[in-house]
Amino acid sequence: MLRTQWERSHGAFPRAIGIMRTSWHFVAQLRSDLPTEVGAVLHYAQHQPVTSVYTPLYGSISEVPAPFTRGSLYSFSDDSMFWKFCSVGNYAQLAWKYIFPDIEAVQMELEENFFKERGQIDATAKSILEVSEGAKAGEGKP
Amino acid sequence: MSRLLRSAQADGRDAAVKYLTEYSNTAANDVFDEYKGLFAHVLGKFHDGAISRPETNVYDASEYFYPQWWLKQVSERSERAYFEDLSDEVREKGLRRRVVSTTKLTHPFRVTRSAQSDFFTNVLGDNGWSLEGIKVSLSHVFSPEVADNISNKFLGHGVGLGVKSSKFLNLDSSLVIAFMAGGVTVVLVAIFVRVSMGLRTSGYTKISDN
Repeated sequence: MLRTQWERSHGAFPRAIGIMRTSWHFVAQLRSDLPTEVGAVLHYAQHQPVTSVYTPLYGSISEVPAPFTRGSLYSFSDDSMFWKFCSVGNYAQLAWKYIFPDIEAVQMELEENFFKERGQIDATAKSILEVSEGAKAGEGKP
Repeated sequence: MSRLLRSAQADGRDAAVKYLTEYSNTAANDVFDEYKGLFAHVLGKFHDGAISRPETNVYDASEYFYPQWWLKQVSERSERAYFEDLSDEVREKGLRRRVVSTTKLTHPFRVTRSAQSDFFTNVLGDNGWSLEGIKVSLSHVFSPEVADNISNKFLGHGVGLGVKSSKFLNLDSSLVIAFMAGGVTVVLVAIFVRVSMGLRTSGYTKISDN
């Protein structure tokens, strides 16, 4: 086995439990009490979980946000979400103890905001749907 | 929102999908922008062995790298794990004679280098001229037959001496061995040149003293 490969798998290389070679990961949230369009949310992120941010993507969206669709594993690109996470995550390896808290602060702020506004976004989307259904139901009446 | 509601009435389900698509897109772009800024932030704050503290105008080099006790502990643990991959005989020798490395540990990346030089120092160095140890380390790079051949016929004394002098000079063993290998090459070339020149000139350089 190559030395670096050996070191990486025996703990000499500082790393989180979630491995840094992760390409993408998600938490799927499926809620049956909401309309189909609103009920499914994919909390999606790229690169290693510990230094990336779960971004809410609703199941009904017609287009995937552009930064998530760009980039190659083999060459850096400035407009790719993967490489944004990758830059920060790899830089943190330099001195994890000192750098990670700064990353965590940004990560927590973003994710907490997403969680906080979830209810409001759900309600708005739901009301838009209900209005359209109400309008449809009203069409048939004289 | 009221604008969205109005468009919803007009477009029906599509409006809700459009609203959620726009929301997801904004969320992703926010994350993208924040991380763009975050990389600039960490690079600006942590670089070249110090932490910049713009709020107090201090470029603080006092505490950036990991404490020595921690690095030593990690180094020992990975070293012990490394020995587990070796043959019983060599592992026992290495563990019995193991001493905590005197290599200065100041940087996380040094940990692995230290584990490596500890291996040389403890398994090879303390055994002095042990060919078994050399064979094992060579067999990580070459096939067993080649490793056997090199250690028996060629490198035995050289590597032993290299390890000893690296210990004495407090340098990385592999550097010293590479340096010595370079030296051996130079000597061999010099001998070859000397011999070939000797062969060429031997015909007319014999001058009698008398």
